[in-house]
Amino acid sequence: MTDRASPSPPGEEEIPAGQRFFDNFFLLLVLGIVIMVVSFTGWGLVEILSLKPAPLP
Amino acid sequence: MNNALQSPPRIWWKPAEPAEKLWVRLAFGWCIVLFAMMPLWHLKGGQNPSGLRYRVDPKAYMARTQEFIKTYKVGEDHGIPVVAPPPGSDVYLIGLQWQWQPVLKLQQGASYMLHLSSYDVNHGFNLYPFNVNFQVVPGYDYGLKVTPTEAGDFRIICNEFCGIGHHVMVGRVIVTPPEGGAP
Amino acid sequence: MNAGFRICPATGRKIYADAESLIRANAVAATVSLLVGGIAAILVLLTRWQAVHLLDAVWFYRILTVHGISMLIFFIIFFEVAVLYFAGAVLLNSRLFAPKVAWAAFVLMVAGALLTEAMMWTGRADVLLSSYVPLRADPLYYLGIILFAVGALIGCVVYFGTLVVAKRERTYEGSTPLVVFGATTAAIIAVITLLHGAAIYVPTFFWSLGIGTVDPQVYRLIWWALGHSSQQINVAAMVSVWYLLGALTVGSLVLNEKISRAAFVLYIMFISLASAHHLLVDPGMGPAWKVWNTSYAMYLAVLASMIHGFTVPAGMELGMRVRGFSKGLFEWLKKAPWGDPGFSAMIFSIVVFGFVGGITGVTFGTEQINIIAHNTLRIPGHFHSTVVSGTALAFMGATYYVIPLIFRRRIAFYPLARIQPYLFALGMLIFSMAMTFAGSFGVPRRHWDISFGQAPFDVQFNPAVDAILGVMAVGGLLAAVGGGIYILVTVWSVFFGERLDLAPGQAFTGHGLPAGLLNPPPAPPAEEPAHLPHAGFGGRTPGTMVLVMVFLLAFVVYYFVNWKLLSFVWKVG
Repeated sequence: MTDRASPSPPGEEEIPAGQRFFDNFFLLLVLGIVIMVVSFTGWGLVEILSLKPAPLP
Repeated sequence: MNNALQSPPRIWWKPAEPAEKLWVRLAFGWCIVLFAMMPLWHLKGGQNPSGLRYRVDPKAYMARTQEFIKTYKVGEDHGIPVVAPPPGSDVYLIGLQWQWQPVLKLQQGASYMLHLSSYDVNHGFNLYPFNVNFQVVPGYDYGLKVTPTEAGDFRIICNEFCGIGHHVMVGRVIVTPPEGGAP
Repeated sequence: MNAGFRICPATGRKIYADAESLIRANAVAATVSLLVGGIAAILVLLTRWQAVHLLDAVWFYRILTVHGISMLIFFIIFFEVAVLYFAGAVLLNSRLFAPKVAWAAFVLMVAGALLTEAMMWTGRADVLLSSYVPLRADPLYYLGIILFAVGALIGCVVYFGTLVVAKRERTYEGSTPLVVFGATTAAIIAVITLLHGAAIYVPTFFWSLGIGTVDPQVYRLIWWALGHSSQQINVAAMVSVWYLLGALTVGSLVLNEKISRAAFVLYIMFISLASAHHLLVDPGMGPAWKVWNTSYAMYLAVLASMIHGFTVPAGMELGMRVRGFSKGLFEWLKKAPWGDPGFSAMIFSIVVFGFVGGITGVTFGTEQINIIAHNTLRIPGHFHSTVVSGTALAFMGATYYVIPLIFRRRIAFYPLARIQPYLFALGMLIFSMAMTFAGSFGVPRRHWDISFGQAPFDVQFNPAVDAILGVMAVGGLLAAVGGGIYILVTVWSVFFGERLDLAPGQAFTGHGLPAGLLNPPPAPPAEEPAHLPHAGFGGRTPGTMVLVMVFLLAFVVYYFVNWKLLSFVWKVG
């Protein structure tokens, strides 16, 4: 089993932006962390910390 | 063609075949349905975990619950006070290691603002046998507008581990039919 | 430490000794954790089966804690670190980045695990896996978990470093293979998970020492960012292993790299948000937060799973059709190597994870439907069908290739190995479904005694519940037999199995080897053969299209049935 599927001359066609994005694991790592920290953790903390004291009517 | 252990061709950013595209579209459509159901049920449905949400000091909540019990007490059951609050009122239920206070006597079809909180650790409110479940968190007052749908003698099972007495923590809710049993 | 490598006889790849030793060490540690967790499982099972009710209350909650931690934290993360080193080093033909650091990470993980286990077994951490504050354990319990988590995080850093090294040293060309991309997804989610773990366990550790406070609702929010996201590491790793086993056992081909990778990217971006599943009936957060997060951002991560649910079997179908198994809709499936434990484990993992785990998970994770599911036995019913019948079973299948390829031993007791996935999958299927069913009757999770013998008020469960719990026990015991066989086979093979030292290019022959090594699938053809189906809405993979339609139908039905069930309860909110 070779580990390269088919050869292609280097520099022939530009690598599409989407492919370059998927290949950038560091960028994906940052995105994953940021989205989680903002949407889940950050927003969640804001929700909890902005609760008012109970009036207990 | 390549398998998943091989590096793909130099450029692999290629359009999918029609069958794959069809499945992705169908799946995406289903995802939109899944997402839309939640806001829809908030608008049209009768069961939502939304209500009043406050911070509260556990001791203050306990004190308010005892006051509530004193106001509406109609008896005692196995040492736990029984209350019959009027429809539309604020009902205070507290979970503590290892009991629920008070026993509630409610009317079928009437609405109440049911407050849930804990005196000590997390507890789990499970209204048996309806299987209505809420998390009871110390330091938080969760106010849910509830309407009993049928008369009967029901239980509150604690379903969040709360220590060694967890399995004796059972409360009681009695719902009387609308004709009889006004407090 | 030997910086040399050997050449893999099956694939011609360079396997560096450092990477190999670390894969082995982590895999062995995983198996030991599985054994501890498995013994705990049997004890817990025999207690929840009220007819037996083996443990007393104190020991039940104690062993339940051991079970949760040993399985969901130690077993699975040790195994995943092994998967990462395999993907980063072996599959990329590369040396491992900073092996000494990787060994330090391993030592930390083992030390942390031993410390935590000691605390649990000596009764100083009767707090269950989730250790909800204000329940308090011995400070050393939290410290043990912190050490383990730090070690795992370092393991992820070693993995990323290996990706960089491999790229720089040009050990492969172009993009990493899809299996490696899946491992990268798992590693990224692991970082998200472990960062949140540190954020909650460190303050909790100090609180247990009497320093500072931890708010119970904030604890639940951040703990579940660790707790559920760790399950998503498992999902990503499991899907990678599906692609791996597909290639090894049947010559699975990749339908479309962009689509499969896009699904992994959706996982990276959105799957961790659904930690909100555990917080849907909590007071601290409002409906907008709940609806957005529980939906994995409009169900985009569910879309991702449904994509893999298509591309994984479709890849198998395509691979088999290319090899000539193209008669009718399902010849590719009928003629597949059902006797290869790598294949059977993978198939059952896909089916049970998808049909039972995935469908119940998304359904119970609906904000309102959660009202009738939260903290009932439906929840462990769900997660046993995902992480156990899904991830663990897939890992078991992979082990049958790791033993000959990495440990270089023949598989001992191979006839037992062949049936192991069947026993385990059937047992877990029965177990999970029974649990889910019992939960719909209101049976609570994490509960020692549902006869409520000492409670002030009686609780009469439907008499069917006793029978259902009995069925659950039978399923669980069958699965335990399957799990026990797995441990016996792997431990024996690794330590006493017949050695297998093949020269590069030498064929695998003889006993104790899976079909994928004895009779390896041919290399993928350069061009698509003409005989593949094309017409019809199923394209090249019509059989898979039928299967996923059945899946979608099951999903739709189960989902809407639950809305109906919800509508019958009290009006709330």
